[in-house]
Amino acid sequence: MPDADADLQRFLPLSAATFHVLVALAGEELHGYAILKEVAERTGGEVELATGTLYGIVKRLLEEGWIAESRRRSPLADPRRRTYRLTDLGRRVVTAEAERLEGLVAMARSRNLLAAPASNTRRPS
Amino acid sequence: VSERSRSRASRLFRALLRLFPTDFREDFGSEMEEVFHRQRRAAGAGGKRRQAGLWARTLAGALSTGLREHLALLRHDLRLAVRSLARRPGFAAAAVLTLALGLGANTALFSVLEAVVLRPLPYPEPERLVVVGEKEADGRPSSTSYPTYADLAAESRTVEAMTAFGTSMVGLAGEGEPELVEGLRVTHTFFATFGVAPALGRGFLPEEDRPGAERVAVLSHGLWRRRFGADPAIVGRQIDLSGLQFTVVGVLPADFAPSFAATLRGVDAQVFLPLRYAGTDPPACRTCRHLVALARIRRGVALAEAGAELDGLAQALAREHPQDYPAGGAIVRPLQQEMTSGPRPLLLLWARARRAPSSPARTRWASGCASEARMLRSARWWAWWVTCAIGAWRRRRPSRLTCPTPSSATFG
Repeated sequence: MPDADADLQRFLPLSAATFHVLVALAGEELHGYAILKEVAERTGGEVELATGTLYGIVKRLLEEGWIAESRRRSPLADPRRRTYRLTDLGRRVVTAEAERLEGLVAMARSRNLLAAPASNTRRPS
Repeated sequence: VSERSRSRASRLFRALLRLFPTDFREDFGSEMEEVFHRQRRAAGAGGKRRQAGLWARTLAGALSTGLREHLALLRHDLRLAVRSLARRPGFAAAAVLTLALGLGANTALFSVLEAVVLRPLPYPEPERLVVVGEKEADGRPSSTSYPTYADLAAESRTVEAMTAFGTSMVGLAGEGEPELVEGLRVTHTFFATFGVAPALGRGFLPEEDRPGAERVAVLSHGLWRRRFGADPAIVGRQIDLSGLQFTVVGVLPADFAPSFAATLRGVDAQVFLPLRYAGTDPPACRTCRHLVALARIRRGVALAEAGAELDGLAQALAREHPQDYPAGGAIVRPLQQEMTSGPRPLLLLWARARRAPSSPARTRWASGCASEARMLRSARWWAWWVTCAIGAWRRRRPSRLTCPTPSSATFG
């Protein structure tokens, strides 16, 4: 879908925090605290989002339609807690951003700025 | 202890939430609080340093995101207002023009109000300066005669200094073209009453304020610069006024503006001469009311107290000289009020009208715009229902009704 891909380009580049939140939600539906934990774990504690920052991003992503509030809710969970899921549009946007970043990394690698990737490198799911 | 700590943290976090717009807080506030408490529990194991890090990160996040959300809200409302205005360009132009005219008129009138009524007179402690007038038969104040001034100045205990002045027009000859110069003839107490010291030389001595004394003059700063090229050696020089030689004894400072003379007597005073009256002079008769008397009341004395004392003294003079005083008594008014008595009531009325919640002018203005507002209202409700139907962000919907529209801007 070249036209659709071209459409996605206007959303890029994403901010690092937005990218991390979308990547965290790419695996499963998560509530706010789980998103924070997932981001912190995936980055080895390098990225620790503040609650204000997280919910600023969540609000914008809901408005853009890249994530949606999940309808599934555990009866035992705190009623204040909402869970969020990635929408198809959100998945396409974060994939486009990952590809953009991959292209940049490949360019750096072609100039011998980076070593060749190890075969067992963990990739975001 | 942990419960108390949690409650304190909750209070602090809720205070931080106030950095966000209300819509944002209502949508995410409780969820954010729950997440923050879980972060706190997790950070608790890491000790105080980790707790402090969490608070710092939370504060920074609240500040930056709160600001961004407020700006986004403002951008949204502005965009909506511009779109509303663009849909009705005629009304938009009328609204903008009305606002521009209103703002312009308000600014201009406030400038006048500030200059005429609110700004204090340019003299030291101007609130102590009063105009002392003799009471006419109809109860209104009039000018003062020299003997009345002299008696009141001698008898009063509430007045620190008192002066009287009349106007004068003299022909200034000598260097350059001869010209008519407006001035004041003043008692020697004039400069002390205003609390002004000459920039060069001195004021008048008591002996210079007597009939037959040597003729001396004090120049305004403007006349000194314009006519005498700001000559620093002007003091002691002879100048020709109406064919008579006067010795310049002083030059007034640049910031001494004798605006009272312009207001009370219509004179742009540039030269000051001693009055040189004695009680026996024909113009110094008790019924020759042609002088303006000004007094500086003592510090700590109320205006009413000084007024009562001077009125009592003037009534005593009237009892002593019944044929010379039609009513007897004195009327004492603040100089500031006296100088603004003409435009002051109109300006204050305007200022009050602006503050009034529903003045007649506002009512007329509002009714003029009401028909336009009614026409807009139906269109706005339709837009609101459409917005609901397509599922716009739920907290933003009501704000569309309150965001700036041509009508609300006009009424504001």
